[in-house]
Amino acid sequence: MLTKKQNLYSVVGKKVNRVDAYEKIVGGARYVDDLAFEDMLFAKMVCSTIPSGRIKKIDKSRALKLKGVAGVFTAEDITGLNKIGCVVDDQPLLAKETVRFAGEPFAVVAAETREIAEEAAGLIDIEYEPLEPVLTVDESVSEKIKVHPKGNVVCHYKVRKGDNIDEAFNKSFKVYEKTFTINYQEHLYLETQGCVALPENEGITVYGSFQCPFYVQGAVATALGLPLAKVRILQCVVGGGFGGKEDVPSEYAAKAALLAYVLKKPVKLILDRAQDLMVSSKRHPMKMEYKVGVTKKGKMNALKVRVLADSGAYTTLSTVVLFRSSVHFGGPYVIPHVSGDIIGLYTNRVPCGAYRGFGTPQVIYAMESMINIICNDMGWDPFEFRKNNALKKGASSITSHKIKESCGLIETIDKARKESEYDKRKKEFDKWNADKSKRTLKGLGVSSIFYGMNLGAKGWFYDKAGSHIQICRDGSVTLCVGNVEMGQGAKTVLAQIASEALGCEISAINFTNVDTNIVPDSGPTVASRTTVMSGNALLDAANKLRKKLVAAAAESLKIKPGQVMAKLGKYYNIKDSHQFVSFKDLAGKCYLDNVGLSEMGYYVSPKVEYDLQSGQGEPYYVYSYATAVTEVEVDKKTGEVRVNKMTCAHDIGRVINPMLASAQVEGGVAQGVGYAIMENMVSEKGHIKTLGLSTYVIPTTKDCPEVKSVFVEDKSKDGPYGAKGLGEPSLMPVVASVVNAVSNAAGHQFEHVPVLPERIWEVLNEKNSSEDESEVK
Amino acid sequence: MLRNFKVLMPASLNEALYVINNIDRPFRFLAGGTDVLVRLKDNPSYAQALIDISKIGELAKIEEHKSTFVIGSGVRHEALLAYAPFIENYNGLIEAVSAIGSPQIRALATVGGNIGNASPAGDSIGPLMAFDAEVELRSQDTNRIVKLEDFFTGPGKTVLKHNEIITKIILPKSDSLKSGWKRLGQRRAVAISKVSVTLALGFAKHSNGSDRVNDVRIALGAVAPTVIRARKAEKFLLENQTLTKAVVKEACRLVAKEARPITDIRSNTEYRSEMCGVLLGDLIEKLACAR
Ligand SMILES: Cc1cc2nc3c(=O)[nH]c(=O)nc-3n(C[C@H](O)[C@H](O)[C@H](O)COP(=O)(O)OP(=O)(O)OC[C@H]3O[C@@H](n4cnc5c(N)ncnc54)[C@H](O)[C@@H]3O)c2cc1C
Repeated sequence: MLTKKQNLYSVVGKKVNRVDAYEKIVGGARYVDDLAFEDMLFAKMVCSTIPSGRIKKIDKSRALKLKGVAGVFTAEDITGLNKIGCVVDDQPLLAKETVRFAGEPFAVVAAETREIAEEAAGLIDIEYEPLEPVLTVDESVSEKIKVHPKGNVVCHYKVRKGDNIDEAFNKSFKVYEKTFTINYQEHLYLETQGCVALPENEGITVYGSFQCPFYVQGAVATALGLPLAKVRILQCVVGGGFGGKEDVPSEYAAKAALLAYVLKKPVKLILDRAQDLMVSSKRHPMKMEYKVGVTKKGKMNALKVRVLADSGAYTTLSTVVLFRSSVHFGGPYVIPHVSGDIIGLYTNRVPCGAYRGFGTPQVIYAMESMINIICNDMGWDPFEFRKNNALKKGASSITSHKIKESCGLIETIDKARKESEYDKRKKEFDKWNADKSKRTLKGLGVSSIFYGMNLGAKGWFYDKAGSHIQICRDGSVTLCVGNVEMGQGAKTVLAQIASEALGCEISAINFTNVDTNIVPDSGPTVASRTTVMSGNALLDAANKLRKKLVAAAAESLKIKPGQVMAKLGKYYNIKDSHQFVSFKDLAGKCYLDNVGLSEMGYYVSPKVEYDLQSGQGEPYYVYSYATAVTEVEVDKKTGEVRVNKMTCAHDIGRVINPMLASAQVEGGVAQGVGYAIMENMVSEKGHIKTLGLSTYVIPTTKDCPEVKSVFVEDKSKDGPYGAKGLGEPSLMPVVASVVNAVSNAAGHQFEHVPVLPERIWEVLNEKNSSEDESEVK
Repeated sequence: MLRNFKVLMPASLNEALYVINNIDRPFRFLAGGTDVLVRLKDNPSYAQALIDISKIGELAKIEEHKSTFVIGSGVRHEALLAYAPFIENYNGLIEAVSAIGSPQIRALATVGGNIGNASPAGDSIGPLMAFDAEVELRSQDTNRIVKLEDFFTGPGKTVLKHNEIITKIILPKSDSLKSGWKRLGQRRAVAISKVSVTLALGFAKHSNGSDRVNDVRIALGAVAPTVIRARKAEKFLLENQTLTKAVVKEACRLVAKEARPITDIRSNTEYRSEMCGVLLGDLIEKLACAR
């Protein structure tokens, strides 16, 4: 049935070029910093230079005297509420009495030029009483010093499944234990954070680079004390987000909006790279204690995990990010006895929040490292072991979610093995490594993942999406959805879905960037949810329109509506494709017949049931799955790593656009490789030292491996055309499989990420000297 | 902020010399601008004026003389890389310069800028120093030649006086030297060196027919306050003449000891020192085999 239907699709499943490629290539795309308005002021934030302290005095007078300065705002100038927290109310828009991290804004300046704003920022005098900062999760969990009066625990998720965990370990054949740590990762979107706020219609309009215009709308309304309807958010072309523009832009937009609203002039606030690196959220560093028990037959029977996550000075999205960690820490496996504690902790460091994978790449790294240790120790095949423990239809996850549909994990494992030619490579590598004269060691690493689609149990109330489609009388179509294009290709994939459903040519479709006045709150563009959520919302609107068009076509062709088919700009007689009426003519006919061709669409994510006390239930309605195999080469003398090749097999349900899906995988690989072996955010005493692109180093094309991506299409009944998400899964297995490959090459499981050459060299050196010693003996 | 900031654009070297003799404020030259603009952005008080020398044609020439090549300080890396005699005989220089930044950077950045910036990690400096290059420094009334090795006094610090400009780099001809350059960075391109090593070797036939080393130059980058020559390792290799395994091993050990690196956000002391030895070993092997 499905295959027959598949053949009928004319746009979905095809390698359609990006609809926004041309304007980006010719430089026509307008990013927020390209916008200019008459009388526009430039804003600059002024940030704390200490990680913890009490504010004694802020003196604006020197700054206000500077010619060209229009205003200097501190907490007391806020017309609405001084709060910004999107989930928990613990963060001020501007620090008032206390600063809790180096980089926390306490004032914001507006001036006639960027340069004057910068100079004025340097003239604002602040006096602090410095306090002892909390800089590690271990210090934080001891509660000796409290970052917030209520204590240092941001959240604590528990997962309890099966018997008493210690008894379960007693029944294990072998038990493995290890502690892992992992550093920050910075999003490093090409376009730094920014927005322009305009006072308009007694309210405010904000243009910007956002992943969730609706969060921004809420934050601006709160800060200004305005009703939501007076706050309009217009999305610009976005130069990358990766989670960094989910909630964080609210902080800047609210400040710019406040200045604009009070000063009655447009205000532009764009962060420079150093400030962006200093104040914007990061991926959570974690300390992860893992204990895994296995049976003689190669099944995992018990898992105990304790994760301490550095949430930084404020909650921001920690509670939802770490919820995901609590669902994914055991990987896509069936383990009968589980005890997990995922604890988010305040520190006097930069707040951590959303980042592609949302709290999972860290725990996947730890879990998949454990599996690597087990397989190496027991001599078990890494694919067979994973398959032996894999989730499949009818099986239950660590949260006791019984998988009912769309689970292609085992196929991804098989495909990854086959397409990577693992077995052949393994033999070649073993031979290579046995040859002591070789300068390098080669290694293969495997990792499997699952990833819950949409916002899940913890975010179901936000998990909806709207759309608006209008067919003009000449057959051209305008689309607007509530999720954003941020480089991931959403516009293209969504245009494909709309074109397929409407039966129009893809070239007829024109996208309007998100406008909160056109579409209802559609939640954030995160959680790999856009194709599913906005795709379904578009289908809802398109199906209503298609009904009207089919009726009109039936009338024109003098056939029954049931005999009308639509495809690529033609509505035709199913029995005689020469008999047709064009989409354009149909639109014209409807116009003259006064048939309205404008529809709203709406979609709500399937409801899930989950018990937060025990961490048991359905955290997400369905999962994407993936398996990755990495080949690396490690220089024995320098510890340098070359990631040569990655083979990634993804089950994402229906692939709407194979070209964009492969591109998404390549992007995820690049970002994951950087995280695994290169990106090292250095911070000293609460101050980030790597505040530029020459010190926070991400991979170039020369550092990226050859990527082979293959897809498994186990369709999801709730996805548009059976689709699931890929945005985050593309990155998620990368770190673990790269680290496993390096570990297998070096013969040592690396316990900290990023795995830098300095550390690898140290390990290889230790091994060498112990080998030398044994030779002497 | 660049308030009260000046950009001066002398049309000739003479004009430039006049300008710097008379200017009353801290300035920097703008050659390719790839260092100076970055620094100015980070720290507006880095300079109060820029003197744009990028259009001065007389600084942008490479000339061949009897026993030297003279590289104008304004020669861009891209032009240096295209100069045939260098491709033929100065492999170490070519390897180093082709690793600088990216094609975009090499199309703008100059040799004089790499030297003037005086970073211990400046990649063209090691090979130039290994080839015993000198720099010509001119002011309106003076003209002096300084060995590149004596030019640097610390990170970002040189013997250049406020009214002097680097006009030329004088590179002795050395057809008999084989050279090579290697570095480690945080990534494969557009990276600042964590450590770099230049090696140049001259060989002569021994009476018994075997090859002997008769000239050794080693320069180390990013492992001391300035780029340095590793004189002890050079001397050791020269004395031993034949590159046996044991000799090479000892030279690598010595060079690691001569390095005086720091621990910073890019790497650490121990690794950097040891890597000097590793890279030297690699270069010796490469140059000895290439013969
Ligand atoms: C993205 C990027 C990557 C880079 N990668 C590398 C790399 O891999 N390796 C490397 O070594 N460098 C690298 N650099 C640094 C820089 O490109 C080089 O140091 C370059 O050679 C500087 O030359 P310039 O002409 O641009 O110098 P400018 O920026 O114009 O000047 C630099 C300094 O030299 C002084 N100066 C310039 N000309 C003269 C002169 N004639 N007399 C006296 N003083 C002078 C100036 O006053 C200034 O202080 C990189 C820079 C960037 C931005």
